[in-house]
Amino acid sequence: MNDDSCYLALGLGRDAPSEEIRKAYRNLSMKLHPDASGTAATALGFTRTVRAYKVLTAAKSRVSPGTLRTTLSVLDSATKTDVFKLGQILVSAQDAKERSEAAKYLGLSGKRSVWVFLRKGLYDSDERVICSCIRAAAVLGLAQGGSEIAGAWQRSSLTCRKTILKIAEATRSELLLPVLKAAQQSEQPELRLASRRLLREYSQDHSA
Amino acid sequence: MHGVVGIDFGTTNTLCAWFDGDTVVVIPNDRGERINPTVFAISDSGEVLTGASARNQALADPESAFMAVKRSLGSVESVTIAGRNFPVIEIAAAIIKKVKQDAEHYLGFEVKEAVITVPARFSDPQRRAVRAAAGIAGLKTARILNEPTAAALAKSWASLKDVPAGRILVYDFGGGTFDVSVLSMDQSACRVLASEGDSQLGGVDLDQLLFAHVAGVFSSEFGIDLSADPYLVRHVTDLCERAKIELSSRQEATIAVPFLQSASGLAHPKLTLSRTLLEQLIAPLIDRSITLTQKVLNETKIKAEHIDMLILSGGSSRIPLVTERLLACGLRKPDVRVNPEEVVAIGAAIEAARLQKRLSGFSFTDVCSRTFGLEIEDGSFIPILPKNTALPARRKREFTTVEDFQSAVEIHVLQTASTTDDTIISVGKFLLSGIRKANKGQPRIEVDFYIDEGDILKVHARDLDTGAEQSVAFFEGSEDSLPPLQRLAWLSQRLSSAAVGLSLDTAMEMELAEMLEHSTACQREQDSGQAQKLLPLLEVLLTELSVRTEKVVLRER
Repeated sequence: MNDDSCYLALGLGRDAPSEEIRKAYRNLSMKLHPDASGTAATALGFTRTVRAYKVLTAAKSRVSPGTLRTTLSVLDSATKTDVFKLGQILVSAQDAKERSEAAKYLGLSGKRSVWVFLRKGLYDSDERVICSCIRAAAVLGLAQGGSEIAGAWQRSSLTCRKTILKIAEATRSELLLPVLKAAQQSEQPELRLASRRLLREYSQDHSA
Repeated sequence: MHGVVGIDFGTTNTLCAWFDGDTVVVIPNDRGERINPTVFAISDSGEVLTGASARNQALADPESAFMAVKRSLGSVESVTIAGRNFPVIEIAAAIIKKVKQDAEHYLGFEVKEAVITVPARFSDPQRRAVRAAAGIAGLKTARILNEPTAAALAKSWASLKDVPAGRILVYDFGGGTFDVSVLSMDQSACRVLASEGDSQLGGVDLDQLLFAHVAGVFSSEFGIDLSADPYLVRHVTDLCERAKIELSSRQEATIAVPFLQSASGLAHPKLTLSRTLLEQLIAPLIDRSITLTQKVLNETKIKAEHIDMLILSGGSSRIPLVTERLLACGLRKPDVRVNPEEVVAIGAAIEAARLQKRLSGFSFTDVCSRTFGLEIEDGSFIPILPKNTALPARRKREFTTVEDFQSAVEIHVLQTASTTDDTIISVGKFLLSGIRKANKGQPRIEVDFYIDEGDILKVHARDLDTGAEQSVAFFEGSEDSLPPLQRLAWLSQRLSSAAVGLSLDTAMEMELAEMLEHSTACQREQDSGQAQKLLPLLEVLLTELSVRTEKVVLRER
């Protein structure tokens, strides 16, 4: 598990600050910890989350704060937690980076109802925003939206498709199953191979 | 004091009436006219016009006016008039508002509520649109009343003394819609037995036929292409309407449009139309109305000669051919004591007075105009509350499970819109959980449909063995029409009932609790802006919950 996939497993982008890592970890625990979910079926997902969290916090502590590449957020702290404002930004901000950020913070809210905004983001003109939305949705534990994301996959470019597969690999989110099924029919052999492998891993997860 | 008025919101004309304790007055507008054309227009200076002013504006500039808004209600979102976009509901609201202001001016007190009539065939979205338009105009809709019902009500009120009992047929041929209903009346009770109609058949269609004929003559005889000029189209259509009305009392009418530019210079086309010609043109449409009349008679299994009274309503019913055809069916001569153009508004005013308890000793029953039922295992429709059941109506039916140890069933309420349209519309669904663990076919689930007089459907499902129950009220057949706060209350109720019996993770439980809390706060503070924002989130959550539920529907027992 490299750092990138650890970030992805938590639904985060590279170099997310520690408080976001903590927040994402807490969100996922409340969905995946067997005590919280009420079923042992989520245990594997929870183990994966813990592992990713540990890798990332260890990495953060190795690096002294001064040398950290700081990513400046374009959004102020009050906005980051207001889902309505974030939803507004996601659909109306001029700057694609700002829309991307909004998608990320919507995901960090941990609330499934933000899907109402994220689904709109799937139709964004900028693929980075689309990927942000899918990344955020993948860790929300949604039961709806799989086919809409598969629709976004069909519309997107090769780079974007690869990113989506990476998200699937890191999160093993069932939300992305329709994407993997679509990817099996893909014209690019590498996507076909990757999706087949992932589908196998998904089903192993399931049987375990 | 505030009053409840009766409003006949028609395709071509809108009327407002008030029962003053003794008799019914059709309220005159600020011009002293009792009939307001249902026309909306924008003047050159941008002023919003309705009624007669708008109709005049329509003649001056057809592009700036919009007519027959009632036909667009519930099917079209908005229209473009003079380059500006107007929601259809707001156009209807402007017309209703004008009538409301006139009524307040005439009556001298505030009017806050109204009984509004709609054609019996109006679908749910259309009824909702009327309700919404009245809301925008500042009127609470005390009741939506079917037009033929209103006509019969007016008649039975007017003739309480001399017609104690009988069967009535209401033939309502208005400006834009046609309705025919059969009612039964005994002592002081009036019950609608059945109703049929066509919402795309009315006086304006007759005008169109006449116009097409006139346009044909103009182009062949005078070389004038009417359709090229929207002003001319509007003007000649208007002349055609007048000629049509004229031909109801005379054998001949003339249409003349002086000073027209034809291919060979200036022309003064003049055209004489005979009643025979008009009758030839409109016979197919009249026959269509007669077919529907016979259909409604068949439905009630009443022979035409057993109808005691024929009531004509709507301006087009004045056409002699109509009476002729109706008599040919074996019906009696129509009672002409009530003005057909005002009879619906009068009925609405009577109903309004009844609701306000200003009129006693007069009971009255309406019927539900749609069939309501449930979806069962193979996706088919099981009717439970059939169309034309007298309101308030209640029907119960027992169902059972499809699978062994099934713990929940989904109650999917459906309706068929009308007899002319067989499509089945989903009204809504809810889940009954906590069913007795038993082999399939054993549990007894009772589903109870109830519609009160206000046309609100309540569905109640109950497991007769465990006593688990769940009930849901559907407003006007669907909840989409509710104002935000009520819709929020409704969605929160559904959310909490959908969550019962589901195993949810902590995050979901917290989100659900938080959402319900927000929703309660919203209702406490009557913050409909916030409610509007919350609604989509609640819907997403509801979908989340319903996707997680095992979807199993009912089986008939």
